[in-house]
Amino acid sequence: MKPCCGRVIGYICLLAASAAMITGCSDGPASGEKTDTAATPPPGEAAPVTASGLGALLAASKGKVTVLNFWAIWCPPCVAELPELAKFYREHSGDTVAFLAVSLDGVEGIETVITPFLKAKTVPFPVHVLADRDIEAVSKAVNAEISGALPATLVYNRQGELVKSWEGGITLEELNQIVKPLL
Amino acid sequence: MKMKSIAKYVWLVFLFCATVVPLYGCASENAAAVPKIGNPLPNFELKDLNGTVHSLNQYAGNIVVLEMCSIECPWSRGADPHLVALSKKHADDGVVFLGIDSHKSITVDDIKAYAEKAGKSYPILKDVDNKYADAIGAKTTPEVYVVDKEGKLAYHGAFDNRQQETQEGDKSYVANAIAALLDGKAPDPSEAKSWGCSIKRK
Repeated sequence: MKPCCGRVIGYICLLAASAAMITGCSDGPASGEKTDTAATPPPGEAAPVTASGLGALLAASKGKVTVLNFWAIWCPPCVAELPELAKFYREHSGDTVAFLAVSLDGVEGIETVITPFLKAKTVPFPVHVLADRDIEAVSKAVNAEISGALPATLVYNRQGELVKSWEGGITLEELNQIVKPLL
Repeated sequence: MKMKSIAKYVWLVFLFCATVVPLYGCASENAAAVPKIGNPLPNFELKDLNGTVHSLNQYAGNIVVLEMCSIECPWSRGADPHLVALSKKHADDGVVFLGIDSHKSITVDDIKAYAEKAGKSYPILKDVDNKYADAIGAKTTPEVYVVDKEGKLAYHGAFDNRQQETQEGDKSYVANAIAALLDGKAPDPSEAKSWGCSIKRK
């Protein structure tokens, strides 16, 4: 190889490496797009959210480390991890972590199914119930290639960049291992 | 070798690592080989509930519908009546339906009891230690892979576009994919996502 070729390849690699390091895994929530506003319900209660409303919630949480958890009552491992998520929520309620729990149970069941369930399980965090369960719209809103498998937990850094996409049940310890270095 | 040359190669190795490692580091927990449409699906040799071994290769020349299924997941159970009806509709068309259970905690006896009760009449294969699920990058139940007569992946993803576990969607992706292949066409869409349950891996 001629020395100049090695240098050219070196520059190309350097450019690619820099781009990979700068862009990271994924961009954060899309900015500049028109999104719905979404109200956060009181702790332990549920309220509807659209896919674009979810995007707005994520955009509003920039500056904090954000944990976004997709779950449903019909999903046994989701229900199994709720106590762990409750501990995490209580542990981080005073610091710079935003916790967004998103239910796939359907808005029609907010009064009859979800609210009674949250009370029975003494769930301490607010729950956003997806009104629009179009998975492509939700993927776009949260800027992540979610597969649709529940439960799923996404963690974003303070800059709003996705740093972890976790599928399957998660424990307090596992979640803290991801979140604490970002605080 | 001169020091200058060694330095150059060390530099290139460093750059390669700096470029490739961050990209792979972004993969999610179980993201193995995600199959690409038009590529051959890896072969398997898995036992059904009666101990009979099935392989993908033995069905070469047939359209094969592989369903990553779960007896516990409401979305998977919700799709079962429609998949079973579809398998019966195409029984004489050379379309093979196979369920694959990759969940660590579900036994063959559990599946047998469910299949009998739910009338799930096509073979269900036990993927011990989720090796095949890993090989094809499967994550969700239900997640369907439709393989054409040449053994190439023609459709991957949701059964249909349902928004609730038991409510039939208005876009029947798998039914349409089978119809397209029988008609000598490529399925459109060839990929679609679905909510569902994560595969409980070992």
